[in-house]
Amino acid sequence: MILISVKEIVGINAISMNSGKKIKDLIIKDWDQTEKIALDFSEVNVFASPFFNASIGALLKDRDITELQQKLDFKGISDHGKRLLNLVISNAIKFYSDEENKTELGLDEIRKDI
Amino acid sequence: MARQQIKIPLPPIRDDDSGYNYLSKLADFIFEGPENFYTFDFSRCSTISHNGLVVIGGLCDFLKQHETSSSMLKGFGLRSFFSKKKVGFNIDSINPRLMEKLRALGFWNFVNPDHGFLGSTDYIGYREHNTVLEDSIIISHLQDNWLTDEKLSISELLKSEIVSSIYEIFVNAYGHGLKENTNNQSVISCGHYDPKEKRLSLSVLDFGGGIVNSVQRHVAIPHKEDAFNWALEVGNSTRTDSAPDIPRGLGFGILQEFISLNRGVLRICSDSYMATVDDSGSYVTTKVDGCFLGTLVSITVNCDNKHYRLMSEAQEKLPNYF
Repeated sequence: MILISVKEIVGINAISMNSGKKIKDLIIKDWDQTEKIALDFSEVNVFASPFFNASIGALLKDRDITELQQKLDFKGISDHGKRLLNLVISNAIKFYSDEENKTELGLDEIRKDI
Repeated sequence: MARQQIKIPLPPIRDDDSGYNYLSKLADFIFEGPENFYTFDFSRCSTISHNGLVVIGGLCDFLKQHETSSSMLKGFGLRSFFSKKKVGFNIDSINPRLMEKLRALGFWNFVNPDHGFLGSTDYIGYREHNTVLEDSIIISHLQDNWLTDEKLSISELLKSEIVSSIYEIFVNAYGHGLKENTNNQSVISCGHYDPKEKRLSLSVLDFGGGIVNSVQRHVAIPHKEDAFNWALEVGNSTRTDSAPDIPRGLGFGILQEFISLNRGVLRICSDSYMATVDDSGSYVTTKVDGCFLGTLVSITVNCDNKHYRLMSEAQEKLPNYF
């Protein structure tokens, strides 16, 4: 099992998308190397949805929820953090299975920006 | 068109429906005539709440930025030496209590330093923020300056839920507010703590075009009210501040749930609409008299550790994936 200390990577606030991306990159790097990845949230005090969207929600683009449940373990996370995590996962499952294809709408916007 | 000198006689502006209606009309009026000179007159104004201060401060910022951009000598990028002051304040007859309140909130320090004074930096009050969201600064400010044990007595869990909810408001303001903001305007916030009622209030404003404009650029929803309501639904997002393949759209839903459980007040004003959360925890949208070309989010939360439930105690059951 590989243990990722969230506090060591992002500090005591798990809030921003940038912080979330750092965690996601570490998870992806270790994904095939181990049976289990534990995310240790000890001493992390504040949580916000952009962090979980970019770290855990984004993993559901290429994996299903069962794979996440088998691979990931969340340690030391507060009740508030866990509720946000489950809310984000619920939203991400809907997002990636969205028949209206909102992702394509977003891609159109990015193309305009480019 | 000739520039006019316009006096704005400010009425009392409270954190209620009439206050938001007045502010929407004021914003509409000034956005229609950014070339004019405005003087805010306080002689008939006995009080201004946090919502009024962010809008007045935001309009002053808008006028200054508009003047700066329009007075640059074309081709040289040099500011005109002849540009006049766009905003004035007639405070000779201002109520002394209001004057003191505006000083204590730090309003003048940003809006007209001639009337301000340099106080400590840990006040709960008016601020104009950088154009880049500095996550750790905002969180530290909330935790170390606002929600300190000396100012209010709340549990660590409630404190983290309040900080988390307020952060979602700032993410929203920076996300759709500043990226689409051609005037390079600041996000503006104003907080107020009522020690008697143990209630913390905060307004956050951006003039980034507003929810309706943002939604209608991304989704085919012709009716403005429908576009406004679309943005309030969980999972809906225009994704202006992130990669297109990352799920978003939880901020307003999280605020709605937190405010409902806390028995607080939430108002989201944008374009000609205002959403509030009713007793059943649902958003209710009404029209306002004017128009905000931006988004104003105001919350009031109870900080007494008594008559509220925490989000983590919410009865609505989410799937427990973990």
